Amino acid sequence: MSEIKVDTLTGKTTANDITVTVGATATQSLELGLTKGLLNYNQITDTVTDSLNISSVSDDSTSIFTTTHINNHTDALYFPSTTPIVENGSSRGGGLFGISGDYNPVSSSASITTSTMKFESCRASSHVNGATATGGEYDRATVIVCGSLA
Amino acid sequence: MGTLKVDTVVGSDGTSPVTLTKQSAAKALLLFNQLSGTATSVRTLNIGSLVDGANGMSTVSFTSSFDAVDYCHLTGGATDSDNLNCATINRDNSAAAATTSSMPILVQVSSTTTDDNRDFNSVGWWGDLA
Repeated sequence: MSEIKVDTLTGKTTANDITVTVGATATQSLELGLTKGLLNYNQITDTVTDSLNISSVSDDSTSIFTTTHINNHTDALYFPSTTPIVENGSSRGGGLFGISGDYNPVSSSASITTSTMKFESCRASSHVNGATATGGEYDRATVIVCGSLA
Repeated sequence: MGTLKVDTVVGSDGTSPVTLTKQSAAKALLLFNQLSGTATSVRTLNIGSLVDGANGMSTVSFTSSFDAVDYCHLTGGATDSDNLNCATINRDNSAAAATTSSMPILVQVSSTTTDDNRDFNSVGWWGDLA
């Protein structure tokens, strides 16, 4: 196996356009596949554990927070994915963590814009089956973002 | 600092996939909406088609197939805690099992007991392509 050790890869023709062989014959744009944003956020303590391309996180209200990108996306039609993690055993309860409100990046009140993302969580009150769901926060709310940057 | 300017990167034998050290790129991406009640793709990577099915259901086909069916997917959907209304985008094996070339998708909303359509949904896939 040969190996290239280099600190920076740049497209020769277009700076962000490098085609990589990703299967036996399949090729793909390297830029489109790379993750453009990461966030590991403790909603309860309002603490960012780790992040990529996130300049700030604002705690808007219980269960709702907004992130701001360092480098903006070309438009709002990118690909955010979300996963909640429960670490506090005394209050574990299932639920969901996703894009706040109606997820429609082309509307005037969109939760996803070129520079910000607004998230919201919803947790069951306990791990007991049939527990009533409530607005609630997670020990860790994780976000992965793909798409093109401006 | 070394900078390599290149348009194409391929394995040393001229055909094999390239290994990224301690990194993995998404192999497929899909942003789709169900505003009209029909699943419609808005932006994609490695998606050949999105076929709308029964309420909340659709099937995505990949342009380049995965090498095995154990690929993983991550999703983004709407959450409204005031109305306890949360969308999940699931791999749906109820109608037809996922294959290396296609995956049934089911959008479910927690405030209802039925499958449902939502405005927008985001899905990404990671794994090795064939």
